[in-house]
Amino acid sequence: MNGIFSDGLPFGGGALAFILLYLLSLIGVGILGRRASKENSMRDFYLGGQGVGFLILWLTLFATQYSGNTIIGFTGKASQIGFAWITSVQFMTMIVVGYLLFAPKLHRLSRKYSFITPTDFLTHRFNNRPLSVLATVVMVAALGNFFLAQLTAMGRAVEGLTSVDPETAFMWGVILLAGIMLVYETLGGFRAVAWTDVIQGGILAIGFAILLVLVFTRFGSPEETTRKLLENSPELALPPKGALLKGWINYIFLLGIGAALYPQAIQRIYAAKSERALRRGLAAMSFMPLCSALVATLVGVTVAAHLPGELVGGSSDTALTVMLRQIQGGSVFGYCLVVVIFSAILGAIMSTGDSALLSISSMLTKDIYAGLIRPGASEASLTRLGKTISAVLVIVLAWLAIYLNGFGEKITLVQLLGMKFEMLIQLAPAFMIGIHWKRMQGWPVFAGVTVGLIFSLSFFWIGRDAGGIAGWVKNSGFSPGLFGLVLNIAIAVSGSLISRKIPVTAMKHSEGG
Amino acid sequence: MNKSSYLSPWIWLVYFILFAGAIPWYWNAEDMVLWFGFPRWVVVSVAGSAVISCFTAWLLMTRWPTEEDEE
Repeated sequence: MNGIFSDGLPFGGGALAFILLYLLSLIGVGILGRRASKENSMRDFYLGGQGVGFLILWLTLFATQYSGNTIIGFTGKASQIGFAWITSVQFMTMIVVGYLLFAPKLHRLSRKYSFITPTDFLTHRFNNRPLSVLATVVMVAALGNFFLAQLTAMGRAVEGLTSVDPETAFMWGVILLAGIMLVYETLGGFRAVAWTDVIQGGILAIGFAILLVLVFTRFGSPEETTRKLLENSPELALPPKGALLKGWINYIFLLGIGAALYPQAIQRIYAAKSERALRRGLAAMSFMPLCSALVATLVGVTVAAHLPGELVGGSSDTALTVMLRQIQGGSVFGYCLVVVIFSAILGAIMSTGDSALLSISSMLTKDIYAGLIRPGASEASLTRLGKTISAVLVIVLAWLAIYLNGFGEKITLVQLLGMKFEMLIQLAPAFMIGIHWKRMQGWPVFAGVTVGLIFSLSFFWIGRDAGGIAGWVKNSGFSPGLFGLVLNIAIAVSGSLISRKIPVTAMKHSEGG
Repeated sequence: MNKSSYLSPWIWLVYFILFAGAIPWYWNAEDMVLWFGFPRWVVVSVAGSAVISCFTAWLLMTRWPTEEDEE
């Protein structure tokens, strides 16, 4: 994969100063977040004291859920499969539908029982330590993968910006951006992350708006675009069939359910100031796919129609580069637009990365250290430990991102996203069914998640030429994670039904849960 | 049926119908009719997504369950 500007769109001093100012403003927000801190507690550091209102909640959900991949990866995917990538609009909407299943009750419980991490709910509901530990491991692993992808995206974004060779630029890009992220997050915790999300989400929205206007002003009417596609690459404009159609449905379930279970998104459900703020924030989120994923799809399709030659031999992330090169086009206005879009990309990457980092830190601190190693640790010492864990995570994963880059691992953002949904989706029964069905019990849920995970992940080593059921699943067009989820639900539900004895403690915990 | 319950079967039936309409499984593979400059199936699919968004927002704003509903 090439850097965004690897083919030569270096910025001048003015543009770099603008970007630097923007990045420094994030640290300023971190300082403000620190000043707004009311107490030295995990509730304050990881959830902003649970006082997040509608506007900030909406923009932090937006900036968190819509990563750099939404702009770069989605445009690239649309340039490859055409209008069939409209599925991205639907699976991003499906995420909000997924919240309907558990957010209202989860928010209420989080206020009542002072939840900090997603595992707090599971512990409250099932009182089953192996399940809590397994869920934490799944979420940390999934988010670790996700955070690594954001770090890699930071390096890619900076490659080609200067005259320095791409590998060195990648390394310094990761170090600089991850360092800034770590500073403002350590200073202000959730408040800094959410407030910077307001800036980043705002710039991201402006970036999408600019792209939308450019698509229609620079490349002619939609009809012209569609006719070019029908003439040169009809498969990109005709209704999807076969594997593409299956992929469409697969994405809706896999990403729709899996992304609703992002730990950092669950923590935003906890952080909402009130039910009113949460429901308004989620309602606003239900329209965001039409303002972002749809725009990214239109950009990708437009590039595929008008500039197909420039996509030849490129990776799935090439389309946006092509578009930006066209926009710049030698004019000062185009140059300014590219600077803003680049800032939007940086904002999208950093806002997703910081939320993932804070969430991982909270789970390692609260669920692993305080839950298993030192249950009696003070709030102040846990918060301090959380900050140290964040720093260690940034250092280790930034090194890994740089190492993988130097090692020659050219993994595109879309591929990097792969495994985490297979894992996260296995937690759906525990959250989405467990929160409503009082008879559901911990051990069957644990067994279901374990089997679902083993089943799903094993398919990464199973080839398409495998025989029997394994081969059928592999070639079905649907993710093995979905098959794993069906198994998982069957085990969790049937196990709970046939179990005669319902532990008293679990029943007590499930009152209101 | 509880008015504010978002778990009512009819709500999920509506979702099923909306997604069934928004996913382009029923179009002829050679359909080349354009609406507003876009392939017809794209317009229907995006419109379907918009309706799903509106329905979801409506549920969130009007059918959010109270504590009593949950009990």
